Amino acid sequence: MRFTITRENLQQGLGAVAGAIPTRTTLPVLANILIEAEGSEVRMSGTDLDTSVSVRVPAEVAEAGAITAPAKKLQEIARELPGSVELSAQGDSISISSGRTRFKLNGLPRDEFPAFPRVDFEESWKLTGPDLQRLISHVSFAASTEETRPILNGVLWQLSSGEMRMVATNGHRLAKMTLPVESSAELTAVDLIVHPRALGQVQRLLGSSAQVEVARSENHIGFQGGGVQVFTRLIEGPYPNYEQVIPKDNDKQLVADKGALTAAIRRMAIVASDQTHRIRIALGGSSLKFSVETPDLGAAAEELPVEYDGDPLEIGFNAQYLLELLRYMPTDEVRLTFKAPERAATIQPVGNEDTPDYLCLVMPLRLLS
Amino acid sequence: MSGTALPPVHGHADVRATLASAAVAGSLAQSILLHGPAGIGKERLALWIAQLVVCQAPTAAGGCGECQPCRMALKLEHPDVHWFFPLPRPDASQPEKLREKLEEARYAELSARRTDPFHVPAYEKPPAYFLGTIQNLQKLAGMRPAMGSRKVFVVGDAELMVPQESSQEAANAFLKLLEEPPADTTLVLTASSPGALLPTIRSRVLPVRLLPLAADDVQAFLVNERGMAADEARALAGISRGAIGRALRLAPQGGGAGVLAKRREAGKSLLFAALAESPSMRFAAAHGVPPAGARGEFTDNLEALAEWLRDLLAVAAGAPDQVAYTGEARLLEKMLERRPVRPEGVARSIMRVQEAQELAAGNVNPQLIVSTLLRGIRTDLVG
Amino acid sequence: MPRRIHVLPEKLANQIAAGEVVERPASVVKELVENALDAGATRVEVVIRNGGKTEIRVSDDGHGMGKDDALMSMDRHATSKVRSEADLAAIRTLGFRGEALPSIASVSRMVLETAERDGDGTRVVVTGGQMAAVEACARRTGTTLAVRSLFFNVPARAKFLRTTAAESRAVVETVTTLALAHPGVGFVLDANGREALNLPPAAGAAERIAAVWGPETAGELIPVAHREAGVGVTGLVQRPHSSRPGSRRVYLFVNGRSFTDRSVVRAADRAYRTTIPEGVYPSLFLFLDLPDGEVDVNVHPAKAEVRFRDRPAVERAVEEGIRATLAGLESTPSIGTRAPQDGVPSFTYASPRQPPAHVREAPGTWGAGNGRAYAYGNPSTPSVPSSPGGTPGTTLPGEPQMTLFVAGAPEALKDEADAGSSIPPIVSPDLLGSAPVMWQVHSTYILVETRSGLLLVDQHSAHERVLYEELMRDFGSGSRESQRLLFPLTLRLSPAEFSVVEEVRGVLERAGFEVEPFGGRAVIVHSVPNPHPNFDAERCLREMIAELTEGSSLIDGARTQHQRIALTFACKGAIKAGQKLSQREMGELFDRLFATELPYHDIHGRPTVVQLSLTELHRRFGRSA
Repeated sequence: MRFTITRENLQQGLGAVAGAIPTRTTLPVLANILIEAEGSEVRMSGTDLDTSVSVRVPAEVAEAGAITAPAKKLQEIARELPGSVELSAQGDSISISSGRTRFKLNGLPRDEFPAFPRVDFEESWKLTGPDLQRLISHVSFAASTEETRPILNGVLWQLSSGEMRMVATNGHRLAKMTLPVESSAELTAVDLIVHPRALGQVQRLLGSSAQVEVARSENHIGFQGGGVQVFTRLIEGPYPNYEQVIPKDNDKQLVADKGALTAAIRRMAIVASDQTHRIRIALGGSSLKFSVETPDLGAAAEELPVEYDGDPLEIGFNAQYLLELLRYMPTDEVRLTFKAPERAATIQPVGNEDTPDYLCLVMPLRLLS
Repeated sequence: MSGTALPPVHGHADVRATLASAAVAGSLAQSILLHGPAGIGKERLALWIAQLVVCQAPTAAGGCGECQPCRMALKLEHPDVHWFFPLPRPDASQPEKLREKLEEARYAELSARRTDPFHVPAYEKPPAYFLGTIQNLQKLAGMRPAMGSRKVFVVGDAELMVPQESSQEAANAFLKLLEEPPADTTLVLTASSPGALLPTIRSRVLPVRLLPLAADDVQAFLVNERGMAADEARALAGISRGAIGRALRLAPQGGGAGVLAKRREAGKSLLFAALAESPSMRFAAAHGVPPAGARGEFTDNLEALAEWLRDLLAVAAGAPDQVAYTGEARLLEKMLERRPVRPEGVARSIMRVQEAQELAAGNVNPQLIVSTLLRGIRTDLVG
Repeated sequence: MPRRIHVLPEKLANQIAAGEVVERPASVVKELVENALDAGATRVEVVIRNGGKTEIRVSDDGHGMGKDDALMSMDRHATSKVRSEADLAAIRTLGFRGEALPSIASVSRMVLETAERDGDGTRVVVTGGQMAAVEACARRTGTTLAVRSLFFNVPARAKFLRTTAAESRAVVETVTTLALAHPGVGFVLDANGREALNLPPAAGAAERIAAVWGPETAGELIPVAHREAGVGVTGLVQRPHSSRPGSRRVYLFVNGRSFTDRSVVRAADRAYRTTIPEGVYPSLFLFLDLPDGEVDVNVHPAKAEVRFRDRPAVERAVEEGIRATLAGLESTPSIGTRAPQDGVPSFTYASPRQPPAHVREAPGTWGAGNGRAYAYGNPSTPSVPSSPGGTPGTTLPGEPQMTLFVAGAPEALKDEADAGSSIPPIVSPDLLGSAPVMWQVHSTYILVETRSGLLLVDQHSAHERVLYEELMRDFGSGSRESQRLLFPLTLRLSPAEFSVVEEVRGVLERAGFEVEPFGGRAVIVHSVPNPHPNFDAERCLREMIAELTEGSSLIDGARTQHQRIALTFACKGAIKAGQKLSQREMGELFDRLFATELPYHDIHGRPTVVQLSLTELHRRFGRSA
């Protein structure tokens, strides 16, 4: 294998892949980057076995071939090189030269590198990078960080013809968003569970691409756009039946100004219990009454005028959950719906074309006695 | 990647054939328990099954051994083959730290086994399964396979999930996984005493009983994998009770071939003393052993005596070709010509030696053990 | 001069529990020393030979007796102390029963020498109960009683005397007990020519304890001062972390009289519950002060047992008093020496009428609270007055000095008690500087700078304490917040676990777990508490159920079902070591910890806090403070 590449292209490729290289690993070869030269391109790939990243960059390939090279050293070398670089491999030995500088690195044969997931992009869903970015950022925050129910550590991704829906929850609150997408053909609907960490890589590498293709294999989901491919291992399902818990008969509805709502809850949160962050909301008349009472600490109350003509209701919430959900609401006005003190409440944006189907749900805090 | 490939599996041909044809037919059970005596290669066979499962082109003889998954599996480097075994409890009081350290210890042990497939770990604390181990396993089970379409968990010494104090919850957590394993997951458990497994675990796995290997298989292993001389390997195989593990343990280490011969001699003189006319020979033999320290060399010598008795039984029963030390068959025949003994008496004597070994394990005075034992053997053999 | 000794009315004499007063040399010593103390002695000297079997001699510098009193003292059922039944209900002196001297005299060869004034003395010789001689003698004011050949005329009793060593030990124990109750009195005990005890008059119990067992032992003790429902509890108890199995010392006194009482000890142990491991019992030196009539000390001839009119009130006062003490930082382990000037109070109890020199106002020191002032004795500063009582006591360096127990001291206590509360925790909100920076060390400990040094907090232990007390409080207030779950948890349980859950469902619900049977032996959990962001409700509940089913050393000692649930919840639900905490979370934990009643110990009795004083730092770096 032998090729010549500009310093910028080399650095760019390595930089994209570096994020996928594990810092500690059981398999020594995973600390390496796989370099494959063919045609007028060099493909660089790295994996931690959960997420794999592969980038194609232009290069003058004199002799096609492949080798794996220690990622960290290669990146450090690339950073210090003066200009365009010639890289060649003889057996397991890698030579790097640039100007008058010569390096030799010990690589490992390509064969040792675990096979990369094979994902067929012939059958794929297509959307823009920013859309994908929006989907991920509005939903994946809600995934659980607790290792108790590993399934909830993941984000549910439902792909069907023309539609892409993402759902995440920690069992206390839930976020759900649906976007229309193009698909290459009439595709069977699938439910995939993906780790948010991998989605972070996707956002980083593909968030600004004009078009991103999403495809799947049996055990992986793949993303590609602008010469970059990201694959990530799926989490074993099945995901809990979230549709069952999304309330359909919440009969108490109101629309409120997000800023005013947020400010009021923030003030209440000051004297809420550090443990449960519990605040109370009372509906009735034409106002939303907030109150909080914490033993040993104090109490607070506030009224927010709203349009509401439903039945009165008193309900408790974790203020932190409410604030968090409000933060992700993309519009100035939000719609809240309720049913009963032990039933889920929903929050939705009002009047935003970009997020036609965005819904957050939060379970109340109950006062047991 | 300097991993040395695992040595090939010796023996268990029938079981392998059954498993491989099931795998080719796509009907291999999802949870398998391999059980049988210690040292007969259960975990090796479990890894063989793992290789079979991840292999891209399995045949009726097992994994192809050529494809990348096979090669990685043989080097213990396949990302979808997870080998778990009991480990000593690391020093960590917090559950999260403990989990981390258990996984590190497993990696360290795996990497030792990669470089030396015969690596025998020396632990200061008794190894066990902890809740943290099972949680680590569950976490891996919760992910789809990284490379192929299936992932395999090999869980060695699975019966150790019970006796230790902290492991009850480990067994229960493992049970949860066995109840509903992900469809792409194969679990292979091994146990030397399956009776110690939780009944609930036993009922959720396909039990496969493994028999001790034929002496030829053990001999072949010693010659091919350990480079032992054929006659020495044959002698060792004869006393291995069909367990490669036992043969490896008995194999002279460092001390050279002489150790085995010396032990053999010690066993012989005990046998001769038992058969001697004069009781003074037996007293002399009893005095010939140290008055304390029953657990070391003495126990090995008792083992040698049992081997002699076993060979004596073979000759007395008219099957001199079954003698482990072929060179000695003649000697035993001569001995029997001089003084015929009853085969059932020999069998009783072997039991006596086993009892004596138990006493030795309890650190009873070796001189006492020997004097009682030899008198008993004489009564059994001669009347 | 009025005669001091009165013959008890017959009825009263009978009313007094009959029985043997004199069992062995130690009981003789006890009677004689009590007599000496009742006579107002400031120094008592006890000499025994051969374990007291050959001779017991007790000399005092008390007020002594005239000839008539001396003679009457030898009359059975004559006593200078109890005059009527009404007096018996108001016993304040020790050797109230007139039978003591005559009983002893009847089984020994006794010589009484006594003088009301220097030089004008009386000697009475009684042998086997027979008056042998009465004569004048010259001696100083006070009394000396010599008892020789005990049981010389009752060989059956003499036979039951034990070895010299055993009898000597009993005498030492007796004198020690009496000396503890009377720290202001000097005691000397000479056994076979060897000085077994030499206790100069002390300013308080702590100093006396130091004199008996050494300053290390005394250093492990923290003072108790508490009054509720008319019961005053003072004294010293061992720091929880200093307590070791098998090294317990228990000395109980009521109105100055030693007594034994297992349920009072149990009450004390209850106060330690959750602060020390199982099987470890702290040493106790407790002095109860009860109004006349609230305690009947006349239960047993050896007077070791007493009867309280309102026993629950006494036990409650003991438990609460010790609990209040343990709530103070004084009960936490510290690294290195403890120096009074680093902010740890030296426990001179200040009578409001006599403010000591070094009174620091509440805020700004660790001795804060309720506008009450504590005195900080500083042994290196000579200007510190030794004690409000005026006894010129010496203070051991770094030694808590208690003046409470000298005569009349409960006055101060009463004033305090009337003010309405027990000792507050020694931590004030100002413990930390204005903007405390906290570091998390090894994701396990929180290190924080305080005004006087450093504190290390064990995050798991601290959170355990917080959760336990908060849940107990919520049980009391009757309500608790609980997070509804989007996907309810289902748990499959063993038959035993299921029946436990059935039994405690109500309490679990009040703890925040809404649990319902779900067919078979499964339960469904609709809502759960949420004590911290990394809380694993399912695991916590599973482990709680397992512990409740199988029992454990932690919960087996609990008195109520509520306590059991609170203990197991705190243990299983608390933040684990290894959990990263934000600056804010650490601050919250710290605040909540110090809002608890017993911030310095987790529910297993391990310390939650270790302190390192600036003084200690200076010392270690060889810097003079």
